[in-house]
Amino acid sequence: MSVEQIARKDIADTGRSRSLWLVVAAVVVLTGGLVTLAAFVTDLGSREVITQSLGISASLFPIIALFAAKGAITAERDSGSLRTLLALPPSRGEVLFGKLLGRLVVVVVAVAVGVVGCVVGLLVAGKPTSATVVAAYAAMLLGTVVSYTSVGVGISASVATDGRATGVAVGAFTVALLWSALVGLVRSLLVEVGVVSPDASPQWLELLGIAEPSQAAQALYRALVSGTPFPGDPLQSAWLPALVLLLWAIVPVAVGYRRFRRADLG
Amino acid sequence: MTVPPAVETRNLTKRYGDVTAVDGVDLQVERGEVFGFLGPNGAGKSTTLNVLLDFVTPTEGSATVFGHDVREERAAVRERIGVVPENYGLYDRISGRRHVEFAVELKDATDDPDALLDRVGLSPSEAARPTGEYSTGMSQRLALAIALVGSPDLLVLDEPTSGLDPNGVRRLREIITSEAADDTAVFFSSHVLGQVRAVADRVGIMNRGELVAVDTIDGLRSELDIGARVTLDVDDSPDVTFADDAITDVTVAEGTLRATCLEPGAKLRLLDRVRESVSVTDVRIEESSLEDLFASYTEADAGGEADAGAEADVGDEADAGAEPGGDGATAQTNGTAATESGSVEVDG
Repeated sequence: MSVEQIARKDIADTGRSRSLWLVVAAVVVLTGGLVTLAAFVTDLGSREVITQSLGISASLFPIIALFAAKGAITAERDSGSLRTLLALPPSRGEVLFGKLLGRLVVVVVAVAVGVVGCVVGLLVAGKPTSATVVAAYAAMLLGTVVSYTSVGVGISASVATDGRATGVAVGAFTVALLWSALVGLVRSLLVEVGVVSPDASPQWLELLGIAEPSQAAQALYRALVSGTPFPGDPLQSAWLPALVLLLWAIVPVAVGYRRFRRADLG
Repeated sequence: MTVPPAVETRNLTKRYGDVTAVDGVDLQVERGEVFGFLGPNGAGKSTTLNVLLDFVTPTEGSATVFGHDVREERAAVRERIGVVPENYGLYDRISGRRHVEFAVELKDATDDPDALLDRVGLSPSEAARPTGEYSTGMSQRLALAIALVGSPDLLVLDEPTSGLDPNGVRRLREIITSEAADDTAVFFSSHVLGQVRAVADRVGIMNRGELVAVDTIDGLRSELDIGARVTLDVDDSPDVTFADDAITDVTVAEGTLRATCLEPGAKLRLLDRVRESVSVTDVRIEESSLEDLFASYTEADAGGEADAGAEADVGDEADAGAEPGGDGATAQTNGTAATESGSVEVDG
């Protein structure tokens, strides 16, 4: 199966690169490291410690995942190894999905290590946490990295050079970082022109608020730790943010695949 | 039922905006044949090969390999071809041997990587090094080893000699010859004629996106009647005339006599004739005849003499002795120079 072979080779190849270890280290530090540190230096309980550290993870995970993924295709296109690979049996689709799989394995393993580190750290600090919180935390982290890995690979498949992929990835990260502010701005403008009343919060605007993956991942976390993950209101439920994350995990790669399939690699 | 050729393109056309890179190319490479694909850089060779390899989508026309459409039946094509693409890259951090192993794995082949590496001339210690440390020549050898994985029925090699040292070129030639003996078709491009001549059964010449000639080398040479360029270092200006149709374009200047010999025997006749009056201190024979031939196809258009090269040969066989297609102007210049030098009468 070519997808699996390419994924394995991709991991082996990136495994020899420093940037991969940078990604793994960043993920582990921002999860296990951060939570453990907070557990030791603050008086907060384990759940609060995790909740506090979520904001930082949610802000920085997009750039880490984008960084890990944006070169998946373009770096090989720049170096010419893509031509070597495509001269062999794998099709473009198999190369793309193999690369996606390879990068996903890396980020998912990094998150797993980070979460285990976080559980161990909390135990050592004498603040054991519930399985629900750990599961919610892991789901939130995975949702963010998987979505942004898909965005990064999608970008990589859609553009011709690694430089351009970097540019678009930085753009995507900026939007991610400013998402809440942008949605807030839209709201203020609508209130200003009288479309939205100052104390109302229309559902579509809230939906827009969780349309960005790391916001959706945080909403997912909140719903999962709330005790009632599936209330009547979809915006308070776990399934709507999960659906948003699922779409982000699929659509960017699918779009990238469509473009990559037709690209001239001359 | 006819057996489809190794490679066939029909009206293959690729345009990039206003630029036509390949213009209606109809090409066939037969099974087991070594086909040299020639042309200056930018003539459309690589674009044609890129279409064949499904790296580039043609604007019009189609390409098949052993009867399989290169795009629609990609998997069937990939099973049977080995490729050294243009501008290929390697994985810098992975060893050469691992590259070959990976290709064997992907092709589901049973080759022994060490045997292939040995065949292209990479030693076990070289093969163990990461390819980031490779010279261009070593990379070319490795790329060739990868192409040979799975004993393909068609080898597509885009400028395979670039970066190879003479040893590597010789080995490549041996490999091409032995593959061809095994009934493997070899389709390879080059902008250097000398490297094609030694191995190619037939050549195709591309210029400005068009396939301007397809023939055997001998066929092309005889059609155009371009001879070898002979240069003699002489100790004095010889006082000779040549009543020989096969010796043309004779010039003398500064102790050097130059002439074009249209048949092999003419070189010796020229030498004998010159030595009757002066002594010759050195003899140089430029294997430029094919370069001239190449130039006559590829430069004629550039000089505004459209299609001169391509059409001269189809014309009058009786006139063939006259000017090599498209080179009329050059011959004339030489003639003038000869007249001015005054010491030699030009015949022919």
